Amino acid sequence: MNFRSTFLLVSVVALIACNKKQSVVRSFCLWKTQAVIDDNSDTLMKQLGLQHLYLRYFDVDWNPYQEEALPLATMSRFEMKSYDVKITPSIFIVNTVLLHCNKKQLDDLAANIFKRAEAITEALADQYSFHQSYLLPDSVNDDKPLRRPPDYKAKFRNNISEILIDCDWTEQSRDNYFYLLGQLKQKFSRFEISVTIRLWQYKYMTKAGVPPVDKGLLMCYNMSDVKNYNTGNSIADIREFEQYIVHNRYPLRLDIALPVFSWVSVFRGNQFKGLLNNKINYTDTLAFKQIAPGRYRLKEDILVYETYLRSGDEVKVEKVSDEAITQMIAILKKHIKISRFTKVTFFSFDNKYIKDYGTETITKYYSLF
Amino acid sequence: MALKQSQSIIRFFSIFLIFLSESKVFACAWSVNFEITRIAMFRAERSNYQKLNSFLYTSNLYNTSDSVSERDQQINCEEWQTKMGKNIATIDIFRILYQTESEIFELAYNTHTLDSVFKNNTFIQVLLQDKNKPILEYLAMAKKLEYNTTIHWKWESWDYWDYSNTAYRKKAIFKAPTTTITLIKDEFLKYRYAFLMMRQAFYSDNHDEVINIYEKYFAGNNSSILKHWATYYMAMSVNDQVKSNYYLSKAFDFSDDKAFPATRHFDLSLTQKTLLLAKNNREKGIIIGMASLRNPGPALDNLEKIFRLIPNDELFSFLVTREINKLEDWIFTPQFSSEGPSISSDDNWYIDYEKAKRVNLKKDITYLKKLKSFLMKAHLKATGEQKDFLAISIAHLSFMDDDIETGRKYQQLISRKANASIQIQQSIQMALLTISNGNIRSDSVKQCLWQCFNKMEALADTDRSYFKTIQSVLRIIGTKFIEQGDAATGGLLYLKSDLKAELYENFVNDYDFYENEKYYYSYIGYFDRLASEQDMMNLIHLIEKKKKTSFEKYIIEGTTTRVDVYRDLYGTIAFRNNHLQTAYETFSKISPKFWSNHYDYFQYLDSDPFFPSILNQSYNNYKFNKPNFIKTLINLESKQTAESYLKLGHAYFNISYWGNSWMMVSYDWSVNMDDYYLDAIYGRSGLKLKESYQSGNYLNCNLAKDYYKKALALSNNKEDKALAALMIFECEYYQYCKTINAYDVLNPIKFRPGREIIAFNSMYKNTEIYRLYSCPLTESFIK
Repeated sequence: MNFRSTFLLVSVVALIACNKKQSVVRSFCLWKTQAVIDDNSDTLMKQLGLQHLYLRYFDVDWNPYQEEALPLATMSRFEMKSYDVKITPSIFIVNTVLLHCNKKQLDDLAANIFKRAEAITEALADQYSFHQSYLLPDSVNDDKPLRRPPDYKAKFRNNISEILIDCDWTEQSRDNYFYLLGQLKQKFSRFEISVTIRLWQYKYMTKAGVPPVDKGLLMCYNMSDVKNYNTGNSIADIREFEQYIVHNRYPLRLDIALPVFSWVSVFRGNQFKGLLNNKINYTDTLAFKQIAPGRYRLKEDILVYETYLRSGDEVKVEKVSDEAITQMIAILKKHIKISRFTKVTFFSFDNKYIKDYGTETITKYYSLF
Repeated sequence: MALKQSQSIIRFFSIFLIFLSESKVFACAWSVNFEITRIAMFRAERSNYQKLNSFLYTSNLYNTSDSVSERDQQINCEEWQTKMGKNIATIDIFRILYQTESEIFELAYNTHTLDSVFKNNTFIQVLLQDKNKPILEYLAMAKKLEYNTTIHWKWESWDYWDYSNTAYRKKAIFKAPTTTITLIKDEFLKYRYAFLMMRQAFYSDNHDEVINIYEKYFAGNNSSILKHWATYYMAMSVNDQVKSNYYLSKAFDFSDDKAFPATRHFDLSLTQKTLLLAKNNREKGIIIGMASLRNPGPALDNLEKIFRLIPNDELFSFLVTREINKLEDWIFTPQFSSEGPSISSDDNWYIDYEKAKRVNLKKDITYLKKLKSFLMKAHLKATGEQKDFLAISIAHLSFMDDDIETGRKYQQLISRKANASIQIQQSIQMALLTISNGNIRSDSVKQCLWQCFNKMEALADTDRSYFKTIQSVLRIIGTKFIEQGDAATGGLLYLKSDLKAELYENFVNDYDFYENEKYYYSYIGYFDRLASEQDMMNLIHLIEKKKKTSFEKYIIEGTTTRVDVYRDLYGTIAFRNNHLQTAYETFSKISPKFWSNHYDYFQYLDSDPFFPSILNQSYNNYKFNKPNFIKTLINLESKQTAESYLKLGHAYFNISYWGNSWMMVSYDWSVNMDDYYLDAIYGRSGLKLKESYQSGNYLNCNLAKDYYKKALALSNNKEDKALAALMIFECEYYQYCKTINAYDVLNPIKFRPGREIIAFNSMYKNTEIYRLYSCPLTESFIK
């Protein structure tokens, strides 16, 4: 095959790929206080064809001494290279806040959240603009602009059209939460308001209530207790999942959040000892005996950097399998209306997790919707 | 075309003139974390060292330790238990007093959910009884005040995005009650309220109030731990600095919790005046001891005084540990790492490093003997744990001094009931003795070493400062292996030592654990510089060995990567030694894809090695294959024709520093500053090693020149002869470039080319080679 015919074939394949409509909005959650999208991350984003990011702005918790809700863990840095994506700022509210606030405090809280989110957007837009100016061609930086440089601040702001409020509300806090959401809707009048919906809130929607907002983000992970030795898969267990997605009557438009992360838990005598953050070679049969899929028992004492694992310890590798995610998607499709405007997001954006699953696999998940 | 070629040659020459000039290497170009490179093996302890751990010898300001004393807090919990009832578990009291965030307690207290939030807590259950309401109220107040002084502040402000701003915290300041204290009859509560008031007064800079409260409630015969805490605040409030020193020494002596700040605030310049206030030998010993804790230089004089005053005290033993660690740093750090001691006690250290090093070593050994002699006398009078501790100290100093006999003698004096740290120290000393006296290749020696490593690892599991001890022991044992000709094991021990240093660094700097992404060379650096072909064979055998011993598993874990990386190095070392057949056979075992996917081979082995790179600057994505290249060299060598010699000349030129395929021989192209960096990490001079590669060809092109000479002599082809003559000139010129000092313009060494360049410019003037590659520079040498 000569060069011309190879080129022709590649072009045709590329053309077919381009013409295929993307079925959903490809999204990821970026849950870091300091988020720097470096070259590696930028490449991964491009490979995934990401169109959207949820960006955690800050958390809100209740301070009992000051008797008011206060912010904490605010995102202080966000740098992106060249890649343009839509952004949804996310604010996590601890349920205790809602249990303690009176109406007046909820009004103040809504105003404070609005003010802080605007300030953060402005600051991040400044950082974005400053950073982008370094990436401009030399002619622009040398005060000899060939054309007017783009308004990056406006570009950053315009990429935001939705605000996500994340809270694991309960029956007791429901009324206050929905009141707060109403206030937030008024404040953020230019934006759509979405909220996270846990699986129990989806299943028991009468008990949990339906938030008075524009849309929901259904969180399809963290169903079980990681510290429980008997938990099948604490991140997402397909049997558990099936028990939650049992109807198709949820009255809000729903976006979908799925897990792509993994952790390794260690049990000593059925007691949870902690999570391991290191790579371990489980195929070393001298040191490990596989006792079940994803479960290994140590045959000898080994040192995993800072952690001294002893013979008899059990290591549980938890990751939602490719098969399980595929099944979850099938179940979701059966019950939830998916359109090309539906965001499918993965928790969370981390090079390690993405490489672990592979960009091709994650791309496949998007295309399954 | 001709002009273009000659320009590129000239540019190439001028670059090398600069590049090869001597560069002064300044240490500031690359900084070393001295605490990380410091060698320290002695960690024998007495039982109550936790209080003093911050003052272990370190090149940082203070030592970092996982082992923090909770003795004061335990005493306080026991006082609470005595007050509230023996049925209450002290662990429950500890949880509420010291492990519960102020906000969480406050929220539960306000919402009357203490019983559910602290379910099954016996302390809370008793506190919630009606009769204990005043005590619960006191505790709520104490927790509130704790919130005032919280250091790690998680809360931010709605008004400030910069959450380091603390302006908003004012709103949350509470005040301890001052009027109600006189009405409280319960002595337990009265002292506790008094202490709260005192601390509050201290933080409000009301020092007169602190002194008043101290005199009224704590100066008398108060046995509570609160008295010793109060003494610290008293010390910090009195105006007279000598008196302040005295109170600090009392706080130091009786409170583990206040020992660190008390020592930090102790004014060293007033030590003698403070001693005048001391009422007995113990007080004098403590005052001199506190001053000694902050002395990074020799402190034997003070040690002798303290021994006379408080001979059996743990403070004395602790200061002996510090003294031994100082000697280890002064003597061992320069010997076993590329660095000097982490702290120098000699101001003239840097004037003439090597001279200072020799003088200081002599001085340090003399000091070591003096210290040992003093400890031997002290040992005669010591009893119990102190006796074992001194015996292990003397043994350690003896081994440092190569006085094996005395070392063994004192080891035997240690009782079987000696504490764990002394026993571990014994096993470290035994391990070092074993490798000094035994056959390091024997399994029994390695088993003995592994047992020692295993014990140290178990200690590091609970106290990460032991990573420093493991790092040091591994480094020293690694050196012994290398000295005895086993660089495979020695290199792995060095790598293992580096892993421990990394863990120690994470710990000292309070970094969250992260695994450093290892770069290719870090796996092979030591072997590249230290290993022979036999070492590499042994290393590969060890990596591939199915049933590894415990020792082998330990040194392999975390230190090695895929075996082809080591095969590649083995082949490279054989090639450097001109063992072409071994190099060929070794490289042949590696998949060709390896060189496309690993290291920088793809980038630097991409050109035709059989034509001189300086005559052809274009890169043509040449598919370089290491075994094929060496096979070709072997074949060319066997032909012994003019053409084969010319090709061999090109090949050896290109695999030299000056050619396009230098990465066949070396993993880096640096010869100056970068080598200093690598020298500091991996030891030995990189430049000296490079000078030895391929009988000197790497930097001198001598092999290439020999082949060109043979080609010139045998060839009948004028074009080939012209090319050989030109390349002989090039080889000579590069040899010259390597020797000159470009900065030494006053004493230039003149380049004297051979007759070949004259022939090139005369006999071969009509050749195509001359037309293409002649340039003004080559012509200038015949004028």
